[in-house]
Amino acid sequence: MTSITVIKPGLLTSIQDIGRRGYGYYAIPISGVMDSVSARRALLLCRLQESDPVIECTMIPPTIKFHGDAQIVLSGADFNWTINSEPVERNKIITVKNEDILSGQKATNGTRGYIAVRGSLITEKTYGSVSTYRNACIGGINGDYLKKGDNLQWKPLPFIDSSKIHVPSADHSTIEIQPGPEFDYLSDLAKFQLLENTYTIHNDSNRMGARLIGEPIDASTYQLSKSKPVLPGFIQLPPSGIPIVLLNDGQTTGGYPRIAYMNRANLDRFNQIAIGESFKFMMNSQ
Amino acid sequence: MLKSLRIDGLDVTLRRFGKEFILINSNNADNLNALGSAIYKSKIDHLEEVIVTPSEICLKTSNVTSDDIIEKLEEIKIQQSDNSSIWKLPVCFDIDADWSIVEDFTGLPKKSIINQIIESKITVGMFGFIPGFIYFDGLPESLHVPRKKVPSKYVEPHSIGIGGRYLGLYSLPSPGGWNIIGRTPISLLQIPEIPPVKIQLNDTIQIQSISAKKYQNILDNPISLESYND
Repeated sequence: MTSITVIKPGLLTSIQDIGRRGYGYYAIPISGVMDSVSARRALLLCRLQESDPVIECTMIPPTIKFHGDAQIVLSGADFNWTINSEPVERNKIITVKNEDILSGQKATNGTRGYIAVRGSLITEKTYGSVSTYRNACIGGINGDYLKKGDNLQWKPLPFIDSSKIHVPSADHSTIEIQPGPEFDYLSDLAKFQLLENTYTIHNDSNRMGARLIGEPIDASTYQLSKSKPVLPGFIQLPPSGIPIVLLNDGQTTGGYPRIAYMNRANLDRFNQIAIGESFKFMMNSQ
Repeated sequence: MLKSLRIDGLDVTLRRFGKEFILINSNNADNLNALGSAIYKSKIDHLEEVIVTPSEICLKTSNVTSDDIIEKLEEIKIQQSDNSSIWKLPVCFDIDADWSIVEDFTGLPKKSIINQIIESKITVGMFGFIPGFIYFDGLPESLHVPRKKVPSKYVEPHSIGIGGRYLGLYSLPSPGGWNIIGRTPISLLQIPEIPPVKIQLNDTIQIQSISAKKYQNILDNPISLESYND
């Protein structure tokens, strides 16, 4: 048996997988990993399924102690990971030994990273997924993010030979979007401004949605007469004139115009933009 | 991309957004709930999410081609409304919360407002925005009170409030702008049961006014909505 103890929880560390599918009808969001590309990479390097769980780390990483030997892969943002104070690489199989301590620093080159352990996590699924959705206390450890003192267990798999992938530094300074159902609520000037503005990720952002800082833009109306369906990747325009991007734990209906949306590939990149970091939107009207 | 379709006699339009999203609207129906529920229950392959609002349905498909999905949608049969259920829902209005806002806006006294709510034909209008939040339709216009401009930071679970034309129920705590006038001791959100919410879209709700004492009794001895209606 391999297990870990959480020595320091980090900022927002949670168990996630590809998400909870098919319950949006009941307003239960998909949740799941915010950057599916990095998560998938860690899992595949461990020779695990895409749908297997990972530990998602956000901005400030956890400090974790291992009990028993295991193989892990770290992916996503650069947390300057160390094991027993020695630097270790991302995107590569690492063999950890009993009592090893994994630690890191504030993320650079992205804001979210993943720890995949080569084994099967012993935990329960809710509606087919282990993804943590705190608002309804489901998934994760007792429906919550990782806390100090938490313990997780895996049934380990046999060791495999080291493998690694070189991943070039990600550039997420431009995010591709497409016109949403209410794109034409924007004035021509506003459509222009949406693509000219430099936006910064606001402090008040989390797994439910990203709030931005930027110059307000005009719409003919900021309130839909009826609530409409929304999903992760949809971009709404509230009365402030500053867009909101709905993310994995976000609400499923909303009353603000849905001016644009980003597809999954761009959502994965967007979710690596850190609080305080800037980017621009680029229109792909395909 | 726009496409017209006829589903079980109902004319709808489909708008496709990229490879992932399809929006369904109709000029011939003011309530798409029956169609939305039918689509959700059909469990079409590669259809990942179905989000239903009375004026629009959003489908999220996997990246696999969605042309098949359109054919499958055309085959759907919409259930008739006489299949819907009637549920008694106990609500305690004996709280302060936002009653003064609601009385001021409507110009009506609390007692009269409660009577109007109890006598209205209330139906389940919509699910969302968060799990267990239910939009109940059917309030008379005299009781439509707009949501607060500045939402409360915290609305307790079990709270019921007025937001525009809807009566809304918070099963989970949340920030919220609805004007809270009551609470129900019944938990409509039952995770991890399938389905997580037993009431269905378009079901009828009969609101029954209960005392604070009865509210506490039921809260202390929790029962499901079905048991309450036995």
